[in-house]
Amino acid sequence: MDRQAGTVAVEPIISVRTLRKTYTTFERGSTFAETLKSVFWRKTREVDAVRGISFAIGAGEIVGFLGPNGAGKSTTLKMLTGVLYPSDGEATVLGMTPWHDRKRYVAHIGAVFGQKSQLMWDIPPLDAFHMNRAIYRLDPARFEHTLQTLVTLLDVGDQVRKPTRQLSLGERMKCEFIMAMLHEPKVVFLDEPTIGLDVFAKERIRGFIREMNARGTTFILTTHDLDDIEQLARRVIVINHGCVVFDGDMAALQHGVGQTKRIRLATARPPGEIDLPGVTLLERIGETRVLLELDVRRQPLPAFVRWADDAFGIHDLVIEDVPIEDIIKTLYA
Amino acid sequence: MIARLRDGLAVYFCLLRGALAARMTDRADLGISMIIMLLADLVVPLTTLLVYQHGAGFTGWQRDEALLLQATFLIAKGIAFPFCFGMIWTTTELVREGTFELLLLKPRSTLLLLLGHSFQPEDTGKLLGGIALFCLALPNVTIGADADSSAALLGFAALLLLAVLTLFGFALLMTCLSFVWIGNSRLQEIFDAVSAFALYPHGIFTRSALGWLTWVIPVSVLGYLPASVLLGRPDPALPLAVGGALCFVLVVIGLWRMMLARYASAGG
Amino acid sequence: MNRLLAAWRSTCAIAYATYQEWAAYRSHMLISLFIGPTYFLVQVVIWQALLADGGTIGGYDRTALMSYYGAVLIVSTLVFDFADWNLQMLIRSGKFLTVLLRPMSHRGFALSQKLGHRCLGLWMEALPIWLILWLVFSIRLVPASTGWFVLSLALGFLIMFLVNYCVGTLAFWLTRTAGARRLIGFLRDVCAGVFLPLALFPHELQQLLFFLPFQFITYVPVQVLLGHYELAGIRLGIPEIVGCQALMALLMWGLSELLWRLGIRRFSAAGA
Repeated sequence: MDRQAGTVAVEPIISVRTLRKTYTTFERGSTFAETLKSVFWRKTREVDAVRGISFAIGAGEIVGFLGPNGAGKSTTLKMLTGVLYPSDGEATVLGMTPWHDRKRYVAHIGAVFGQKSQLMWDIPPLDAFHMNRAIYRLDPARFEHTLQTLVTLLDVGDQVRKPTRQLSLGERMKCEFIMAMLHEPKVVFLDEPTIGLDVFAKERIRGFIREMNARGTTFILTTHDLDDIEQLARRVIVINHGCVVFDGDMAALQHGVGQTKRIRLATARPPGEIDLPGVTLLERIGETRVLLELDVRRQPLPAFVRWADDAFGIHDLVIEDVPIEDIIKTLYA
Repeated sequence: MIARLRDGLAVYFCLLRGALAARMTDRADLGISMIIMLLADLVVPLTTLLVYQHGAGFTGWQRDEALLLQATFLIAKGIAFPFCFGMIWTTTELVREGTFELLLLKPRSTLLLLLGHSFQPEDTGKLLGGIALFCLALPNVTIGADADSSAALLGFAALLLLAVLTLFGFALLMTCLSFVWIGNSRLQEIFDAVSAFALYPHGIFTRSALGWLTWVIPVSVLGYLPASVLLGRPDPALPLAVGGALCFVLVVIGLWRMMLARYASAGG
Repeated sequence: MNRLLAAWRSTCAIAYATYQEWAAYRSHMLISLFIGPTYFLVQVVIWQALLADGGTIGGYDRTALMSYYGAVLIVSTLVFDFADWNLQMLIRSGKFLTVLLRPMSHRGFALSQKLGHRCLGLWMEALPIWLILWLVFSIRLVPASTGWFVLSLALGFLIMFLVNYCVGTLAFWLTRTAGARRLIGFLRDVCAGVFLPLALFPHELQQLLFFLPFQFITYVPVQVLLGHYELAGIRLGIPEIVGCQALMALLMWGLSELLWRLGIRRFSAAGA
């Protein structure tokens, strides 16, 4: 896998240089003695969450951050939104350093956290929107116009008047997006924006992001959902153990690992030796069940299916993408 | 300057309306909560009444004078609690859920947002109780020395304001603590315990270090000081106490700024 | 016999898990070491001022009042409970369904939890407070009869839990119970003699209080600790009043069972 640096055609609106973040955490035991001891004295431990990452993002891009849990994606995002100070390094977003003049800076960005709601549980989203109008000092006429546009785009005209607690997760997430975009931010950060949503809601949200991107908004999103990346981002930055391990075109990533599929095969007859180019046996689950990895560039899928049916008789066949952890393992190797 | 203030107030009232609307979804519960706020704070005045009925009492303080003192503290609490004390609980919740960052994402003073979000209408029950008690006690006491009641009233109003400001300081102090003590729902109990001293005339601390302590940890400012000015016998330590209270509030505001910066550098 | 043994084992296991869980919140408990003695200090200072010249109030002189408040502090620390909050939270959040899936009564489960929680409270709250009372305030509380005190305390512990548990079942009928719970909790503490010795209340009220469960939570264990019991002019020996306490515990057990059954019926009917 070649690690190509992200090339930015236009003047970058986000540039990050050797950004680092180190946390101090406390260790605590659970036995009686340890509990007693920790009342008076706690053992500390340094954790490197982000270890000097650098990249640049141009205006109008959609960039996906990919990485396993605890890789440092969210920490990076928090630093870029100005709510967390880095331990070291520099970052410029829209010509400002996020953590220097936080209040001025955050007026120009938007953020949606899939697991943290900005709406208020007991009152309708519409009331929360009006709250944001006051907080962001928005012009009433312009606010109404933007609100109308967003509500129409996301098709939540009725829902915004219901108390938030009565909304489904998908409806709520749409309202979160409206909440984050009422002040027409140029850059929007999304932290797992489609987590827990059903397929239809995901589609709707992705369509919305594409539409807003076409209108000039730059999006930076972290996700575990490869579909999010495939359908939205032209560029991905893979982070693992606090480092950038891949930064480049979606196509380049696809070219490498997207061409590999996992196949769960249940056969009529026990499959013996599988000796076919581009096919690797990963695991024998039972006498008539195997897990295979298929490189579709070397072995096209239809050809493989025909071969397998002829050789052992296919009972059942499941085709999966390679899990994100495995992609990262490949990238990291 | 004035425009900025008005702008800030506009945001504050917008948030306050939201908090009120959220709380109004269950009016029965709100009503009961208001009653309990009223009742809980009337325990000490009722005890005082009982004690005076049994023939005992605080030296130098008539029954209604003592009640006036307690009413003063209740009024100060009745103003400060609905507007400031919700902050402690809101912060505890936000920090525990890891959603405190969402406040930092807004282009406004975090303190202003926090105050607006945390309005607690049920605590106005304390204010009602305080006013009722005040009105009951007032006719039976003499206001001001030498019949100069307007000066006494003015001084009382100013000191009541200081008492509210000091209570805000206490609320902010405990909000700061809630960052350190994540998930601790008992912070307000600390305040309740400390402020229990504010319900009694300063004279009960005769010759003890505690008396001095109530100036340093500004507790006497909360009830005794305004009441004694109203009754026309200000304490000689008045300037010291006022200075102490103001210092306390300033130090706490400094602490708050520090905690905010620390939160941003340590992370959730 | 085997069933009883199994029940005891699960109680111990739940209590131990709760103990571990709450050990993480030790700062929670350490706050008690500040709050309890501070309130006590307030009482000391006030009654010193009020009863300076050796006066008495409701038959209590200053020393007797201090012993009373000291004992209240210890007893209320040991019987402390929030089963009402816990139960309403389960019902309101819908987590209650998982409770019904357990092959064990929730009341038993919650009581075991409380046991673990208070075991931690015994050495993290009650013992240090007892030492503070002795070393700082020179009030050395030694039960008049240890056996009876432990029994009375255990019954107070149980009644406190059952009262709160009944209050928690309110959540089956009300959507929000915060206000009602606070109100009842407050009246419970007043009627249990936490703020003032019950002997200082008007006589008619004392008569009423004798028949309510609340005095058995704090007032009775405190009186047993101090070695004499009297309320509303009724003077009882220690064994008699502890017997009454046991009777009340039984009654409350029945009441909680009744409320639970009615609540469950409503819960299933609503299909929440």
